[in-house]
Amino acid sequence: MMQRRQRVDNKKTVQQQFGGQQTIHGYATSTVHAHGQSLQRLACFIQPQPTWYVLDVATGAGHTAHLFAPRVSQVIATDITPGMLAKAAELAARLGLTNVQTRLADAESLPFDDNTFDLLTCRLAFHHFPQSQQVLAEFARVLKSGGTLGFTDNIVVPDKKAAAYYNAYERLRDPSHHWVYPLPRLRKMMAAAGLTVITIDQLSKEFEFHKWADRQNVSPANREKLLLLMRNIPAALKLLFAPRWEDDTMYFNLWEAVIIAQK
Amino acid sequence: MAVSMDLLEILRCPYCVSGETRKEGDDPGQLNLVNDGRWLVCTEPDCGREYPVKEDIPVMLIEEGDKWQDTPVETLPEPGKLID
Repeated sequence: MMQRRQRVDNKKTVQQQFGGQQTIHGYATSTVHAHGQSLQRLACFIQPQPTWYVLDVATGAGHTAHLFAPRVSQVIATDITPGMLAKAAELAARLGLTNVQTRLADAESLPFDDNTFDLLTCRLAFHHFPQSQQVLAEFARVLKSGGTLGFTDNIVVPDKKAAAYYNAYERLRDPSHHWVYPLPRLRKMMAAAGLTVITIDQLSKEFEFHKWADRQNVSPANREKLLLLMRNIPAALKLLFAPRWEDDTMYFNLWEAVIIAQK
Repeated sequence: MAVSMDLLEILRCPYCVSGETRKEGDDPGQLNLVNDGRWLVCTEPDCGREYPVKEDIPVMLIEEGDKWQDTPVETLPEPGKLID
């Protein structure tokens, strides 16, 4: 069990990493986050009802909360970073959404009663959670029986050495990155939390290296290291990253899983 | 937007409702809204954590509750802004 002090330090790293105005703006306008394919897939797989209470955990700039809000009764959006939450509330107001409320909260200890939500969404955030199994236990606790989990996160290949290389690459860009898991591991973790996986979709998304690095204000020295890491990727990651160099920049892919599960 | 009462009804003290520190009973960690809706106080007898509502947004982090644990309600300050 990770010590509480270390967990608090990890959360402070997330708050620092995502609390800057430039970063907040970057995530509010990022194509991957605001209009990503996984957002469309969630909308496609989940048919929300007008009576539903929805919780969007680690909402960031609120894109997932805003997607479902027009079709449900209430959405509560949580995040651990005050600046992100303020941005989510600002964007909700700009969109005319009057049923989105925000709470500063930690995914590992959600401040809600048991069996409360019809739908819980968590998109592209799970890799930040040090106590990931505890987070899934919390998802299961606050979902109603029969409630739906709409989950997306990046995934990695099952090979352990390759997974470690991948996660080191991500953490060099974002120190608040904790761990990206392979899909079979995610399935097991969800099952252990009492969540039954209903359907899984996988997608690949392309990034231009400097735009990706800009979103986390990566230093020039670390950009060099990241590019070097990408030139030397292990064979097990070549299919995933599929790096290509063009016009003095580098393009690469990340894989994302969309998982719909039920309590 | 003010904090709506029906959404406050589902809010709980994160320390008393989740994980290894969850209190006994079928609905632990209920909160009272005090000081004109500016603070939320855990009702568990041995908790004493208090959570500010900053600009209509409840700050429901355990670390925040720890900061104000057992502070007499009448001496709790104005919660202030969400972003310092």
